[in-house]
Amino acid sequence: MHQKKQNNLTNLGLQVLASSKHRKIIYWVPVSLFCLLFFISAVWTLLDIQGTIHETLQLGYPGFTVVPLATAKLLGIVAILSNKSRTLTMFAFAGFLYDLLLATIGHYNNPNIGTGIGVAILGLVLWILAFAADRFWRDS
Amino acid sequence: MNQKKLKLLYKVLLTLFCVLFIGSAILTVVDVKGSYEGFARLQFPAWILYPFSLAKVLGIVAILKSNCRTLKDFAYAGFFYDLLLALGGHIANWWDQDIFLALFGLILWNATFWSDRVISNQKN
Repeated sequence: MHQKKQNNLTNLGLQVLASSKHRKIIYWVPVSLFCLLFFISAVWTLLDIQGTIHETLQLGYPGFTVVPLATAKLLGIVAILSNKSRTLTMFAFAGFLYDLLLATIGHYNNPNIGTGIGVAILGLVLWILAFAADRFWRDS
Repeated sequence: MNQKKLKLLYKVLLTLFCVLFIGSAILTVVDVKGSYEGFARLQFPAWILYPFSLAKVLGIVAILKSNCRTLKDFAYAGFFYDLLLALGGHIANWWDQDIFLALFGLILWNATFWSDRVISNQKN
């Protein structure tokens, strides 16, 4: 499977992407940025739980999601970085995607709250890059 | 458990799972006003019922029709998070009686996902 993907890449004339060293960089840059974003978001939440609950309520979401969501973000990062199980990694990526989509809609409906819609969009872009990196350039 | 029995069990579980979620999606769309109140009681914004209903139908289609494991994982993950949010909402709403539906959904999810994985691992 992995070999096939690598051949496809080479056939496309993307030899750079297929070489082992570059593949590592291409994998780790988006994935670490993505994980960093969610790590900061989770730590930020846990440092100021009351403030985040207030902000979450302003976005229209229930306050009880705040602490479980921050915990889930940390667990998701562990699942993606350790990559012990493909299913868990995919569940983590799915969770982050749904979280980002809900955050984007929430910020779109209620502008000027917290960091605004910009960070949610940035998160979505990073999600696409990290997911692509995981699918194509993860060393299996 | 032999292959035949496992497949039968999987079909039964999957049917129940589909009935639960398609039923919930249809109920939501048929009784929009009631669903608005239901979501408000669980502290979720009212607009969320449209994307959730659509996502439920798409998720069931993915689980039934798709051969792509990643897509199936995303669908199963979506249902799992949906059930967790429902459970959280019912707990926050002072453990109202609908919590049993969410708990039943979680148990059914667990059984369906487990049998799905066992069967697809046997195929490979």
